[in-house]
Amino acid sequence: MMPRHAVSPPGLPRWRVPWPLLLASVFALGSLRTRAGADVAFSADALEFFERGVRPVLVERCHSCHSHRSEKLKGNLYLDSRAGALKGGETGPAVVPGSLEKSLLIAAIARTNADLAMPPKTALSEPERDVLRRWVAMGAPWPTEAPPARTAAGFDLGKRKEAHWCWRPIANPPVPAVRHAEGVRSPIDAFVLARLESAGLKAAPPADRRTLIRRATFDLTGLPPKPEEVEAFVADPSPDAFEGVVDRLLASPHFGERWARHWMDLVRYAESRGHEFDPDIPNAWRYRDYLVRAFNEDVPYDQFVREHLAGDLIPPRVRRGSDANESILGTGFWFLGEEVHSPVDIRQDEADRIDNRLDVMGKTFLGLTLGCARCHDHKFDAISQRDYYGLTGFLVSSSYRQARFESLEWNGRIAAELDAVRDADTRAVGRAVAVALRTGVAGAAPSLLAGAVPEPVPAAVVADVVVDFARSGPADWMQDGFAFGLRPARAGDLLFGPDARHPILGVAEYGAAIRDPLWRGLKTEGGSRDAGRLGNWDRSEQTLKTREIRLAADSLWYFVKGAGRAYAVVDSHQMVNGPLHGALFAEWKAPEGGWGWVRHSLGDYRGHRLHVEFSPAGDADLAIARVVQSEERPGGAPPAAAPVAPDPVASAARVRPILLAVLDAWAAGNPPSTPRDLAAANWLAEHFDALCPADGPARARFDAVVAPVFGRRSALAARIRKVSASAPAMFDGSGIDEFVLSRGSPRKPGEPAPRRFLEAISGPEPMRIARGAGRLELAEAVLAPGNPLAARVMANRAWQHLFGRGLVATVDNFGVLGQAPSHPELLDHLAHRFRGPLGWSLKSLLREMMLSDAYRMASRTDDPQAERTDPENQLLHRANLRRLDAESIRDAILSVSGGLDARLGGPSIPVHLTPFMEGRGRPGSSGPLSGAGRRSVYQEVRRNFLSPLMLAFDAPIPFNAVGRRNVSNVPAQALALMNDPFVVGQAAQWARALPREPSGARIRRLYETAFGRLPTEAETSRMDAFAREQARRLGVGDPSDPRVWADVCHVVFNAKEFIYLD
Amino acid sequence: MHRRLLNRREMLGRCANGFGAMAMTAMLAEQARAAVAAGASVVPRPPQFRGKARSVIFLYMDGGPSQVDTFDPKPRLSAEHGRPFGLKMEPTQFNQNGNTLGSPWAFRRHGASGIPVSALFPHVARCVDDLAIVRSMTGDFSEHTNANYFMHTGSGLQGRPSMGAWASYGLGSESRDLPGFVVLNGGLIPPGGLDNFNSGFLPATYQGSIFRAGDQPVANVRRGEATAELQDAKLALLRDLDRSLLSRVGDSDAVESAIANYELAGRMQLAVPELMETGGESAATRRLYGMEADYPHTRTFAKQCLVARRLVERGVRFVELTCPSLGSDRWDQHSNLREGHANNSRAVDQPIAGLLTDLKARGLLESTVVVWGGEFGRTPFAQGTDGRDHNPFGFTMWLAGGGIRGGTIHGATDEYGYKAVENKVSVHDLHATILHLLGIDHTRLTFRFGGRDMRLTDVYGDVVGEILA
Repeated sequence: MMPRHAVSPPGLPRWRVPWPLLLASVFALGSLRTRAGADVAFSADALEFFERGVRPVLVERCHSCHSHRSEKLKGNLYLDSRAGALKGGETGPAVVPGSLEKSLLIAAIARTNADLAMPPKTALSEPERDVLRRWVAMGAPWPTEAPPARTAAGFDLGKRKEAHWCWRPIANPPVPAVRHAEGVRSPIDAFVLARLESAGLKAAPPADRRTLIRRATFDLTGLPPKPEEVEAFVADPSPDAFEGVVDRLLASPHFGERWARHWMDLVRYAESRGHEFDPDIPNAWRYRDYLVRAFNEDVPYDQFVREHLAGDLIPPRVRRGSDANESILGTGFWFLGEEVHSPVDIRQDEADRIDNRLDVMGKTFLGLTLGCARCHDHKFDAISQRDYYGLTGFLVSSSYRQARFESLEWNGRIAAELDAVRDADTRAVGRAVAVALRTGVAGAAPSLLAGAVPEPVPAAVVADVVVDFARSGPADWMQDGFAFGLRPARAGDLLFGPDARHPILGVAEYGAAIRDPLWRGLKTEGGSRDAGRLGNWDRSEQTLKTREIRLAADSLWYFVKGAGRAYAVVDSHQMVNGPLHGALFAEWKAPEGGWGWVRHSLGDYRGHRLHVEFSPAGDADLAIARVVQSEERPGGAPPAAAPVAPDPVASAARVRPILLAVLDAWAAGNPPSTPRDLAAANWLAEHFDALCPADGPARARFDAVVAPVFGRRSALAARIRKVSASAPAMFDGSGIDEFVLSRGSPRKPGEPAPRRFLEAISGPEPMRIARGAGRLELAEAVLAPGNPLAARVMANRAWQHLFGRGLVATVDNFGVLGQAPSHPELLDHLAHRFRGPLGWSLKSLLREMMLSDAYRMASRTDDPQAERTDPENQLLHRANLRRLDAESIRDAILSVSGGLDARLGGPSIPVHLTPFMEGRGRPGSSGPLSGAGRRSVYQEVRRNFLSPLMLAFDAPIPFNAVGRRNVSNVPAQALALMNDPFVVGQAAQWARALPREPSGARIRRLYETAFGRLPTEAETSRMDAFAREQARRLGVGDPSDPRVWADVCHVVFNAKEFIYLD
Repeated sequence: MHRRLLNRREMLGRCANGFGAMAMTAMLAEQARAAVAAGASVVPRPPQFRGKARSVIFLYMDGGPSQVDTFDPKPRLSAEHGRPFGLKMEPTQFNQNGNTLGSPWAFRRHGASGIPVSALFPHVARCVDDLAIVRSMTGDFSEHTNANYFMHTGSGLQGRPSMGAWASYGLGSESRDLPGFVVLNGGLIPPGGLDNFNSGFLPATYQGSIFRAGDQPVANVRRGEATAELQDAKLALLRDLDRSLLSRVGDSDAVESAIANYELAGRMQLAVPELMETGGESAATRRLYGMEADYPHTRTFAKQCLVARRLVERGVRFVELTCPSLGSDRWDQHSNLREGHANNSRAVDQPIAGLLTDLKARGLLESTVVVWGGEFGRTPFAQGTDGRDHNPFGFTMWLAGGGIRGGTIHGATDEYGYKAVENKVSVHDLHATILHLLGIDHTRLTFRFGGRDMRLTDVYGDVVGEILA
């Protein structure tokens, strides 16, 4: 954002120098220190000129934006001290004493440059400009005075932490004593009752069983109870009948659906990226199903958090009944946000994208508004701008991939075994090769040997090496999958062929990342692909990434053999589509004659941060030895063709001993290492069949030795899982720190901000990070006992979803601008139980809450005093009357009508498109009106085509964490229930499904199914009368006709009792 | 949520049939409750001070019309046509920057103010004395979607409330049977989609209702029942069911509001068809708007403009018009500027002039702010040879009507029409000014979300006093 200047409206207080002070300073002899250190004194005349002419202009025309008194400092420029003027702002020194040309102040007031015309709205008058020009020409005289200081209170993190409740450790407060101990079923009740009693109130009576089971069933499953479930509970005489209900509901597979949807609000879940063409977030629904399973399996919340922040880096939790990696799916939440294609300012776009990710993470896991510390230290909370950029570093050090979560774990084990086999067998095979070829080489015709050892290509000496796989460390071996093995090949390593008939491909000439042909043919299926170029490349589980660098040249150069693909991930931009940024992709054919340099021109991105992701082009072989950044081709001219030997006999005489020496070395277990020997070894491999014919005895002996090796290899290769689905996930990179960006602008990087968690919790020291981005360390810091927020925030969310209001009502903001907890001790009690005795089990926590009397109260109290004292029910003197959320309303309609398909999981049902849902990126076809009868959680969420029915009932727009939904009350809701074809259609379906029975029985059935209760006699007769009259109005002879009852059912859907929970 | 502060029943009792003369108060009360339910810290209210205008009509020129071809003449472009561009060029969306491109259209001075308008807008030119032309608009984004979001919501990212939502949040609606924020969709939804008109974190009450041409102009507004009698009977049964709930749970504002919504919904069912039926307008009026024009897209936009007037007459707070779909592109002429801009202006010129003239004749222009413009302007240098790329650094919008000083030019771009250099007006300034015209101080119209008191203007925005009457 361009710095803008506000015209001060009339009446805005401006700083005026008190006249006596001004006069006094005229007579003072100012002095200052020059760069050399000598004091420079200005004459009294010069200073008087300053005070009379210059200072007033600065104060009147500049200080509203450029002083310590500015409400908002612009351009980071202070013009209220000489030092400030000399130091200048973002564009450079404002004043260079004596130089009108070099002083930006003079250029600015002259308004010659549109970007630098100051003051922005009204130009200085000519006399004012003249005064400033003369002042600069005089050497910018200014009296000695105390440096101005900001009058506003500074940011003191420690004080703020001290002052606000949310940073305090979780206490384990004693359960308070209460007078009416008979109402204390659980410690929760003691905490609630103690507050009520201190206010002179008492709790509402318990809700009746029908109300209670309806409440509990919606709360835990998002569905209405079945009539038989209601009846069973009503009829159950046992004192712990409700316990049975809660346990049954917690065990229901629909529990996971309900609570996954709550979580999806937090991570702004959507399946498309919005922006102009609303492209897919490929396979986002895999993350949704991960949530459903995780909540159903009651994955401990600490594990759940770990999986979100670093699920790609931990020993994976494996899906029941398979070996799919569950943990990695958690990291998909980072990538559910909006993405921009062809951003003109790619760095700014990244800053915005990462800001969203960080803000979502902060609100979701910590209940903190981290995003407010992007441009400056947080205005209210103990969160510094350095905290913000320290956290940003974790994200800029990680990137996006479609992870083959089904095959990764399995294939990882295969890769490890393959690696072990190779290490164990490589000597044996080398020795066998030596034995097999010795005779052949000794007796080979000179014509065969001619030119066997060409002069090897001299290894170029190059600067600015990004990675050289001959000497790279673990930070340079970051791979999605195993196609390049578990480590780079070393020069001289034997390269095994795919089978015993082609036992060796040769040796590695360079330390290099070499694609192992065993990993050909990976097939990623069962889902959609990324928009644009990225989606056209099969990269999943066969991608190798470089470390993160800042590009200092106009090109990257890759020293490669074979065909391949490179994606330069500049500023983590990945929606490469449209007119700009196609240059991030490079694809090359195999360089002629083996190794060669491939240029990747990236001139537009000089100075930007990037890493490169290499992947093979189909089945082609690919080896990458080096990545270099340079303007020029590294190492001068391309390698010359191998010289042709002039005389076969002479050449053979020279070559034969070299070849034999290589064989000797192999026999002794030493791989070749000099360029000449490497070339010789490769010649031998290439001529293996000629030197050791397939039908000869030597070959038979060789085969016998290597057969077991290849047997082991092929057995392993056959077990590689080639086909897998994929899902969005994190791809760890080398660690790199972000800078503190002045006022949030990527164009103004300040000091580096080493990666770490919040200072208020973990202290100011940079985090010790073993390897990579450090997200695992971050997760541990979030979960450490010293962080009270992780447990408190989640316990509070659980409470909110059961009671209709959090103990901290602002569930996503525990900061100063949030609301203070209504029951601080209860909150701590719950947080303590949650992370301690309950072992982070959400189900156990919910169970404790629901088995309290507090949960079981009626929503109506007969105590008029309570309504007066506690009108907002903050003290919980009764249950809250709640409107169902959008999903529950739709799901209840389906459930009641019999139209519900209760299957769990799977790809989303495409969104139903009404004629009002228009715009770019509109899907080619609409999903079914009924949503195929599947629950709302399985309906596709396309950012630019959100379901109007869901929006009308306040389903959130997926742009940021929304832990507490709006509950609006608008005519569009009435219109939707009255006229939406889905609602009308479901009413008709319900009516058709009603069994033939007397009207009274039907009405009873309707009430039981929809409201969980029996109708009164008056209600029955009213509805019965309606049915008969409506039959007449419809001209239908039979009052039991489904057309009549469709109208009855439709009215039931519109009843407030249907959409409210008491 | 149980009733505490407002007693609906008392209020309804005072009004003849529920709403009647108290319609506006009732709407406000409803919205207040919605806001309370949403945990809002600020409830809607009457204007904070006496604004000149009650309504806004935003003529959204999707795609970004070229300033130098419409309202900001630059002779220097013609003089240097075909020559390399004389200023440093910023990065562009397509990065296919060509040479200086003079405007294909002649400018002439019009009206008493003598303000120059290009040949693209012969009808609007006749109204030029009512316009305040801001030639120094600046935006922050070169991409359509971000720029659309920015122009509508003050943020380049998805999810913030649209200014129409803010306006109806701040003031409510004076219509008792229509929503406060209406989008008349001419056929093109701007990139970024319906989120340009959404209510973001504000309660859903305030989101833009999309009206479109055709059989069912508003979603779910057409009764499904064959006769009104059939629906009425169902609603009567519904009232009895709801009464029975109230007797069980006691007083509840939320439930009572939800019940009252059916009354409003019922009225909307009747009001919307009546609104869209323009057959009763006089032949002269229909001609004035261009409803009989040869060009079908002129007729489309004419109908939108006419309905916009009818909405304003009915007290709707904020009306936005999107462009008709011409079958080619909207104002986004990356190539073929001559034909594309000519078609786009042909579609909207006469209807806009008709709207301004008609509003004025009916005395409605004094209380209606009409705003014209797109998400950015276009480059004065060519993209390729015959197009113009996006340009957020300096572009033109104009305002007319309530509280606006007509016949004004405000601000200036450089001599190429590339960047604003004088009296720059940011999108935030524009928002602040529009709210000001409605009687709202943009710094005081806030909604607490995610720990901040959010504003349409974020932490920016100055009212552009120079264009106020």
